[in-house]
Amino acid sequence: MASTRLTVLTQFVKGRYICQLQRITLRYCNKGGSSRGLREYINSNAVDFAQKNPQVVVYVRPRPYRHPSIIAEFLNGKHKAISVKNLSRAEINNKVEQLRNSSGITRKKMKRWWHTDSPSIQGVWTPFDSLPYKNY
Amino acid sequence: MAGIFKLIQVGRCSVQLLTCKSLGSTANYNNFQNIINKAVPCRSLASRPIHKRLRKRSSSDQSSGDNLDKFKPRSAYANWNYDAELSAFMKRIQQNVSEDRLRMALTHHSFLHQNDDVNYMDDNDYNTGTGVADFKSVEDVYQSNDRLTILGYNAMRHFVTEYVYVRYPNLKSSHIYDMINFFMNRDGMVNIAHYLGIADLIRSKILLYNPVKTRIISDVFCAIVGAIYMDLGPIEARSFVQDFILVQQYGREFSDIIKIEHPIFMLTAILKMQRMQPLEARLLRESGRATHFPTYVVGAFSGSKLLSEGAGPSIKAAKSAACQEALLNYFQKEFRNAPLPSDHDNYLAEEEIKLDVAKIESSNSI
Repeated sequence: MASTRLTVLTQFVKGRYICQLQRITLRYCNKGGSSRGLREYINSNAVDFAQKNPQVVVYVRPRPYRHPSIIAEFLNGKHKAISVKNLSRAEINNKVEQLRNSSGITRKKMKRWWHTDSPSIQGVWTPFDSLPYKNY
Repeated sequence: MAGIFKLIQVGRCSVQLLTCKSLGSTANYNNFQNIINKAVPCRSLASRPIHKRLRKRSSSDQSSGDNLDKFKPRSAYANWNYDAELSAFMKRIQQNVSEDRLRMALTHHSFLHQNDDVNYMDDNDYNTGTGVADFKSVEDVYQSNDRLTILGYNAMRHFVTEYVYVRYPNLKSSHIYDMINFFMNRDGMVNIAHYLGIADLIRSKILLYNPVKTRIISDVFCAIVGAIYMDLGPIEARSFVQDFILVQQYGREFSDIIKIEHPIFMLTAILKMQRMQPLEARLLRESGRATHFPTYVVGAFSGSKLLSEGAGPSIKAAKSAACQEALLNYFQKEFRNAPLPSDHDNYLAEEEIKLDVAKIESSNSI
């Protein structure tokens, strides 16, 4: 089932590059100790990130007396919420970069290493399968 | 704290965007609310009950009618700034269209003058809203995307037609129509529009009632092509069409796109036209003739040259399949990287286009 969504995306890989991350919301607390890293990130790194990635809209939202989190919304309609509780600035930077590079597809275990639209690669069995190819 | 941080602390629910465009601005909470109310064609945020429990209770009391709670457009959320989303969208598609034109392209005419005669909080209007706005003056037409849509649709159709015509020289006229209809499919456009994040940006009254409105979303997509055409010229518009419309072909079978009717007749005619030896079908292999499920493999020959093979449960069906296969191979022959007439600002006359003639002749033969 996961591979179905992948095929839809690979259709567009042929064209120009589209960053799949659409918008990102940084939610922090003004006073809480667990938000310290995110506050530092907003002060020092967030502006750089927004300038380097103008295709991503960055929202910053205070959320008093709660743990900090990052919500990323992707073009395929999915969103990911990541808790950044007690994380340092560098760790949060890594998280954000990871979100920017991801496609937003829900992670699923790929049970097979190959994908095919038809259930069998070989095709439907015919009586001539085992015969050598004859060139007329 | 830095300056940017001070901006954030204006109000409890305040949101400050950090795109490079508005970094220098000193928008405060009130300005932000104004932007939201202007940009979002829905019930204003202030009119919603603040407390979630209160809201639940009130909605359960009015159990009938209010279906709008089920669908909440993205623009109704607090972290939404239409200006920032617009500039991000332009960077995303990598086309610097002028902002006014882009706004025009994203505005459906049902959005204009929506507040004049309709009260949004009135339940009757939710249910009976047809969304057809009366045009009050000529200027309204210029603000909506009606005109851009026509331009964009026809420009897109022009580029698609040119591509199909140049790239597949063996196609018949009906097959060219099939290809164009495949590319210009409205459902496909809606798919691409969602993929580019257009659907959230559309300003339309109708979309609030019915979020899945193929016609409106595909019209907006066409209008964006029209906006690129107007601002950046036909070459940019063509590259946009190539990158988003023409790539729909990848991963699709050619036989699904074009319909071949009467394959035996058509193959005979083409062979005659090419002055090749007439079509001859020969049985290559067979199995289980006396059973309920026989299989025949028939080869379509022109003289001693095997054009293709086809299998089927009867000899007639196998012959038809073989001819269809041969035709598909013939029609699929394509020029990759063929020069298009619209490559140049001054359109070239057909005689002046330099093609590799040897290549054409080799691929033209069946």
